[in-house]
Formats: sequence, structure tokens, C-alpha cells
Amino acid sequence: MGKKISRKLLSIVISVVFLAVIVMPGIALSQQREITATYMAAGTYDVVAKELVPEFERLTGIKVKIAAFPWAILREKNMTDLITGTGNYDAMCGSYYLAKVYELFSSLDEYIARDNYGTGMISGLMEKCQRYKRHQIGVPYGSDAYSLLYRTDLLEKAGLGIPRTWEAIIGAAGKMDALYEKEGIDGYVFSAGAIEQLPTLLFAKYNGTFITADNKYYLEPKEGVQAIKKAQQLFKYTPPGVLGLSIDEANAVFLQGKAAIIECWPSFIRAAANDPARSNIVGKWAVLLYPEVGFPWLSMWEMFISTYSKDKDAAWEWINFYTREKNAKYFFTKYGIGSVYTSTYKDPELLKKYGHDFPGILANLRRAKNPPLTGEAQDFMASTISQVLVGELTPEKAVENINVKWATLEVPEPMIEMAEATGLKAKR
Amino acid sequence: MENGQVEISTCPFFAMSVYRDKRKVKSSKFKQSESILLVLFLLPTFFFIVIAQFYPLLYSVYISFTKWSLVKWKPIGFIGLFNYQQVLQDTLFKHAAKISLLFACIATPVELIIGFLLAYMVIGERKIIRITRSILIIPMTIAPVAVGTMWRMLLNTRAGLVNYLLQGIGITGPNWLATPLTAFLSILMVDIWQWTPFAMIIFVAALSSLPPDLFSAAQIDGASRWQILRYIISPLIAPITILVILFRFIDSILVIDIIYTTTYGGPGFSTNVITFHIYKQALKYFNVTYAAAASWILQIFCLSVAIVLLAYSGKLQEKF
Repeated sequence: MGKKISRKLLSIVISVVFLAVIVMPGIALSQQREITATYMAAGTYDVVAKELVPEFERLTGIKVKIAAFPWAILREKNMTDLITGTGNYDAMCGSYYLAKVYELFSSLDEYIARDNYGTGMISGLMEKCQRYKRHQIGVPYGSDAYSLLYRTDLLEKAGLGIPRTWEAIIGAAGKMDALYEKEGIDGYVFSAGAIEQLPTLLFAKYNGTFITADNKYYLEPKEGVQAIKKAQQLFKYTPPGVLGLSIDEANAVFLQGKAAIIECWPSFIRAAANDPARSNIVGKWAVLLYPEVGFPWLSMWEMFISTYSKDKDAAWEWINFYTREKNAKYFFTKYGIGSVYTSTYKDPELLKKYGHDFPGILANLRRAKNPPLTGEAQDFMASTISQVLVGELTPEKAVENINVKWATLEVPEPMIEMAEATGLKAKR
Repeated sequence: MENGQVEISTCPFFAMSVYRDKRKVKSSKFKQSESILLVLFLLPTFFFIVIAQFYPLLYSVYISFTKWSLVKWKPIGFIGLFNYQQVLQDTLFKHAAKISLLFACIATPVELIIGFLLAYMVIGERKIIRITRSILIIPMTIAPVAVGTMWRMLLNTRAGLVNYLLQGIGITGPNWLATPLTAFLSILMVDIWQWTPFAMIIFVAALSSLPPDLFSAAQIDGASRWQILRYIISPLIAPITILVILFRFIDSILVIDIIYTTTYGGPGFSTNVITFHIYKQALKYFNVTYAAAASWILQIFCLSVAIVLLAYSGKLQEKF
């Protein structure tokens, strides 16, 4: 009898242990907090995110999966996840081009207020972050503003002062183009082969608004034509094949010392420009302040939280950790990521190396704006500007075509808010 | 004969008919149960096809008649033919359709002619011919995205191999992907490079299957090579040729990978083909209802081309 009981007991114990072995990890796993964050696969933001994951997991116990996608499909991935309500991605990176789905992002107001988030950031950056119905939905982690970089030595040798207006910049590019032609140096270079970059040619020179008082997309014809004409003038001094140059190729022209002025994203070129192994222009370049017409195109990467996230608090924890001030210097020095914190630009160690371009970069960043355009509106403008550059359209016809197309597009509510805030909407 | 029974042996015709009737009943019963079994076996596949193929197709028809705000899960509001009207009035769509048609109308005959000539040269079973054939079909086996990326690098104005080689023989290479004409020619060239082997391989099979007696007879009758090609080979391979045209024409209309990886529709809108236009509308701008309507217009066009070509092919087969 005793044997029978003990056997029965033993079998129960074994069964319980067996079940526990099966079930416990499941319970443990279900209790383990886990989030997924999207980044652009650029060898910078995504790489640094992966580097930070182990430390974050150790500190918080929250598991983070980094999903990195190339620029071309990142927007699709984020938007599809939101539209379908899948909730695969808790924290998402993006920018103003996600306006169509802003209402599917969570408000970050409470988190920002609770953690006093944004202290130490470049003044005005938090205000430039994306909003939906006056609630902030994005926080910045990397910023850059289109800039004009120029060769200090060539400008000086040409006996030219630092140009402050577009007319002076065009003049300087022309003079240097003629002067250094024999050395194979062109006056100006731009990544015109990267079609999505073309809008900056207008943004920087356009002294008008993008949205009418009755909330329709509209480019002011006179101002638009003038801006495109200025871009055309600059393109007279470009190297052969400029219309096929990608961002890297255009940067390479400047790094090789074959162009006097480049219009580019500084974060893509800065690290290489200061590296003697990759650049012929170390110590011979500086940032030109954009003339006070139009605005430098702002690239501000922001982190958002999906409304479908199952653990929004964990997503915020990660965002807060990833975007903290402590990381900014490391991001900048190792990957050239434009910092959103003032302290980076005041760091004595960094000032020694980057002192010549920091003031210009900061000044451009302060003036930089996001255009209140949807992807479709901006893409159409880019392709139309491309048509002008290849000689298919006149600037006048280009502006007319843009306005015809834009008249068919709806302006999302957040874009109207953004345009109002940045002065890019016409007043009644 | 007793008890009214009929002996089979005495009435063979009756017996045969009874036997046949019994067999018929048995066979029809067997056939019935077999059919049920067949239907049962086919059901999973049928459901799979219905769900995987027809449901999305029918759903896309449905959404093409609706308005869909992205942030709502389901389409809202029936708007009739508005999306179709919008597509057909869209100058970008019309331009894209023109580019696609031009692309297909040039690429298809070029691929056909070069494919045929290549096939004519590489028929046979000698080792060197087999190796040549294998080498020639390599482009077709590479993923189109890889082909596009590779050619983008090759056609780079400043650092591409094509211009470097041209420079070697004293020619300054053009800005391949940077001007509308050269960009269009470039994508055409890439498509022809990749898909000519498809035409070639079909023609090799067609030519190899022709009875050699015909050629011998024609040669004995004094037919020249051109006459053999014109009056014997061409008619015999005509149905296959139609099939190659059908495949290549529709495939050229549907080209997207090469565009995506080489020109991204530019410069301007010069290589903005119809599929790329629809892709951007659907997956970049999320104008899904517009994209559904545009897709159906394209689908109807492709289907019409297929019907016309297949009907013509049928007529040709009847003729020969």
C-alpha cells in the first residue's frame, strides 16, 4: 500500500515538475517585456541602436529588437504596420513625411513632462517636432540641415569675400569655376542624380509659402520661378555628369578637391572631410551660412510610439535612453550624426576639431525647417525640378505643373499646423 | 425456361444487355464515388486558390469603387467610377502608360529578333554549343533587382565600366542615367540584355523540334537558306513566336525592378513606367483606391493583349 502511495506521489511530482519545465519558461517569457524599434539602415542610426541594446537590456530588463530598413522602404514598413494595426513596431523612426498617419501615433506629452525631456536641446528643436492636434508625437534624435560648404583656400585665392546672398554665391561659383578650370575644379556640385534631394534647390531659395490661406498646396509662381532660376544658374558651374551624381558621388567630388562649393547634408560628409585618409581638403573648408531667403531643409529624425504598441512605457524607456544627451557626443564623433543637444557644439574637445564648421551648422540648424509637404507633393516637385535641370521644362512651366498637380492633393491637418507654425502658410 | 426463367445461353443478346446494364450501373457508381473523391482531394487546393488568388483580386475590384481613408481599417463610401475617372484623367498616368507602351513596343521585337538569331546560332548538341547556350542564359537567371543594381554601377557616368571602356576606344560616354533619352535607352538595354535569353531558349526548343526531313526535302527541291527560313521555319514556329511575344510584351509592360534600382522613374518622369507609378501611388503615398483602379485598367489592357494574341495564335495553328 505504502509503495503504491509513494509511486503515485512520485508520478504526481514528476508530472508537476515536467509541466513546470514546459510552462515556466513560457510564463517567464510572457513576463519579459519586449519591444521593437525601427531605424533607417544607414550604417549609423541603426548600428548605434544595436550597440546600445545590451546596456539598455541590462539596465531595464526590457528586450529591444532593432528592425533596420533602407530609406526606400522604411516609410512603407512603418506606415503599413500602422495602417493595418499590426503593432509589430513599438517605437518608430521617421519625420514629417508620415503626416498621413499622425493620428496613429501616441501623444508623448505626458512622458515629456514627467521626465523633463528636451532639456539641453538646441533651442527651438522640440518645437519643430511633429504634432497632432497640438500634442507632441515625436522627439528628435538626429538633426541635420542642408548646408553650403565651400573651399576656404580657393575663395581666398580668388580674392573673394564670404558670399552672403544667392547672387553673390552664384557669382563666386562662376568666378571660381573659370579661375580653376585648368586644375579640373568646378564651381559647384550637387547630388542631382538623387532625385529626392532636388527639392532643397527650391526650399533654400524660395521666398514664399506652400499652403494657401484656404489650406491648399500652392507655390507662389513668381517666387517659385525665381528660386528655380537661381538653381539653374548654379548648375552652369557643375562638373560633367552632375545630373547622375548620387549623394556619395557628389560628396566625393568635393572631398577630392574638385569642386569649390557643395550643397549637401553636412552629416554625410563632415567625418570624411576631416580625415586625411579620405579627403584632400582637410582644413580647407568651412560652412557657408544660407542666405536669408528660403530656408535650409531640416532633416530631423524623430522617434514615435505607435498607438498599437503593447508596451508604450517600454517604448518610451528605449526612446529616452537612445536619445539621451550622454550619447550625443559619441553619436557625433563615431558616426557623424548631427547632435540635437547644444552641449555637443560647445564641447571643448570637439570644438578643436570642428570649430570651423560648428557655428555655420548651428546657425543653419536654427533656421532650418521641414516643408509642410506630403511625400506625394514633394516627390512631384522633385521630379518636376529634375525636368527643368534636364531641359524638358522652363521654370515657369515647372511651377505651373506643380500647382496643377498640387491642386489635386489633400493637405493633411498636421501639415497645416506645421505650416502655420513655421510661417509657410499664406495669411488671409 | 421453367418458371418463366430465361436461360442466358438461349438468349445471348438479352444476357449481353443485362450484363452491360449491370456494368453501366457499376461503372457509374464507381465514377460517382471517384468524382466525389476527386472533388474532396481538390477542395483544399480550390480553397487555397480562391483565398490566395481570387479574394485579393475581388477585394481590389471592390476597393477600386470606394474611398479609403488610410487610418480607417476598412474602405469607406462607395464612389462608383470616380477612381477610374481620376486615373484616366491623370496626366501622370497617361504619361506612364505611354512610356510603358513605348518600352514594350521596342523591347519585345528587339528581344525577339536577337533571341531568334542567337537561337539559330546555338542549335545543336555539341559540347561547345551547349556551354554557349548555358552562358547565354545567365542574365535571365539573375534577380532583376540585382541586375538593376549592377547596371546602375556599370552605367555610372564618372566611375562606371561602360564609360571607362568607351573611353578606351576614344569615345566619351554619355550621362547614361542622367538625361531622359539615355536613361530610357539604358533601361531598354538592361531589359533586352536580361530577357533576350528567354526568347532564345524558347526558339532553340522550337527549332530543335522541327522535323529535319522538311529541310532535307526543301534543300533537294533547291530552296535557299532564306527560303527555308521564310517559307518553312517561320510558319512552323509562328505559334511559338506569338507566345514569346505575349510573354515578353506583358512582362515589359509590367517591368518595375529595373526602374526601381536604376533610375527610380527619373530623370523627371522619363522612365516613370506604369507599374512604378502604381507602386508609388499604392505603397509610397498609400492612395490605395486609386492604385486599385489603375491596376485594373492595366489588368484589362494586358488581358486584352493576351486574348488577341492567343486568338491569332489559334488561327495560325489552324492555318498550318
